[in-house]
Amino acid sequence: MEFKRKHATVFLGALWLVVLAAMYKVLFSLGPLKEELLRYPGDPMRHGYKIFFFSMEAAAITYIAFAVVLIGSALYLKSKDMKWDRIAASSARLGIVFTTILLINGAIFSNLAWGAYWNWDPRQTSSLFLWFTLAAYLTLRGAVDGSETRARLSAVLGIFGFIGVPLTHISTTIWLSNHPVLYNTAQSSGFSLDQSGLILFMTLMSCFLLLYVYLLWFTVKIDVLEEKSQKVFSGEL
Amino acid sequence: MNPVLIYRIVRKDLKAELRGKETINFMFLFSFISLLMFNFAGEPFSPALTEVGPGLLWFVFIFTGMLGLSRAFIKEKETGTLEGLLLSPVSTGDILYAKTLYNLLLMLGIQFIAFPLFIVLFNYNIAGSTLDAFIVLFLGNVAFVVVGSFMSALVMSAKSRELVLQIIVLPMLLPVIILTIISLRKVMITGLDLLSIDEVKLIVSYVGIMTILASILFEYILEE
Repeated sequence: MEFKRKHATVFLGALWLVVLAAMYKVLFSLGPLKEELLRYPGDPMRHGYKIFFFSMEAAAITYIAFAVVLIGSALYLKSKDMKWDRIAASSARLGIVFTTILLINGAIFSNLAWGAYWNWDPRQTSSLFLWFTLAAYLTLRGAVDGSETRARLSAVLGIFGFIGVPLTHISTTIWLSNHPVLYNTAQSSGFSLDQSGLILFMTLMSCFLLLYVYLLWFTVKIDVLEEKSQKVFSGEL
Repeated sequence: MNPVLIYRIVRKDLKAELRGKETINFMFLFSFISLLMFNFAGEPFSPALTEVGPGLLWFVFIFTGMLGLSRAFIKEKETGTLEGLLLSPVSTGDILYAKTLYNLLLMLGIQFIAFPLFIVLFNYNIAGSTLDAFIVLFLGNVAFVVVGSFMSALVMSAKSRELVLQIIVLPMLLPVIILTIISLRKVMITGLDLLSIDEVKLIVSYVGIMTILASILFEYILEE
């Protein structure tokens, strides 16, 4: 069988999912983390601790997706190159997926840790705000005809919408929150990660980041092909 | 930024509005009827109604303001006067400031009537000072019109723009809507002093950031 490029991309995607799962499994069955988990066998927080990582990785990717939307939008307005618009739009589409993962995992964690799926924690609420911002961005894209106008207007909204990221980030320090933090500050009240947790976070982070980059590249490519096929249908090519 | 030109655009808009009264009448009737309806959210004179009062009041103002927002730029686009406005020797920034100011005046005008109506219908006793409540409402209004006018210009060339506007404005305003309700509750229910409320500072900084962003990005909306 001839090994084509499209097979390579599918293979690469599948490989990353396998590596992600394996790494998660391995890291949790090793060292101090495992001891930590085994110390309280009946504690529901054991699973909370696990799912917390997925929620936090998704949050990190959501921030990155927002940053890519911001940068793509700014570069589009500067250069009027459709390439940047495609990147910003694809990043927004991925961002809404990762924010949904964040919200669902966050809700499960919230139920385990605080006893309610929606705890109205500032971080939960502000993450939902990020989801709505991306939804607004994609709504605007759907409502504007003409690729140039759509790119220009959505770029403006993409830059505007970035305000949600710093707002989400500072929300836990402004309002009283029970949300765990990565680095302990004077204001935070939740638990913070120990060293093995930090290693796990960083390893999973690189996996999630590569997954995001891979999916972004894939989505942009689909966009390019879609535009090409439309041109073929309308007889331009 | 040219205050004289801004004043002239605002005066033109107000004049046109007061002649036809097509938006202002709708806004007033809408706020009146929704205040009436929201009164049935709890037993009359009940503490529950006192509890939700500030929030309901702010929601009425937000949804009333939404009616006015969708008219500000879209009306110019529909009647074809936008090109005239753009051709006139006014900088694009001044057009945005003028529209924002006009929307603010429209909202404050409605609220000037709707706020006493709220006090009467809800039989409301404000715990803090009334002036503080006005200042919080004013700041909330400013935040609303700054973001709203900008977004109203953004959706001008979209399909079914009035609908899209609601979906885009509300997420962008969500933080400031929540902040305004929190500070309004602190003033009207808890009776705190305005300067001791942290959320007010956040509203002011949000308005500041949004104003700067809007004035930078506005020229990109109008370029065709």
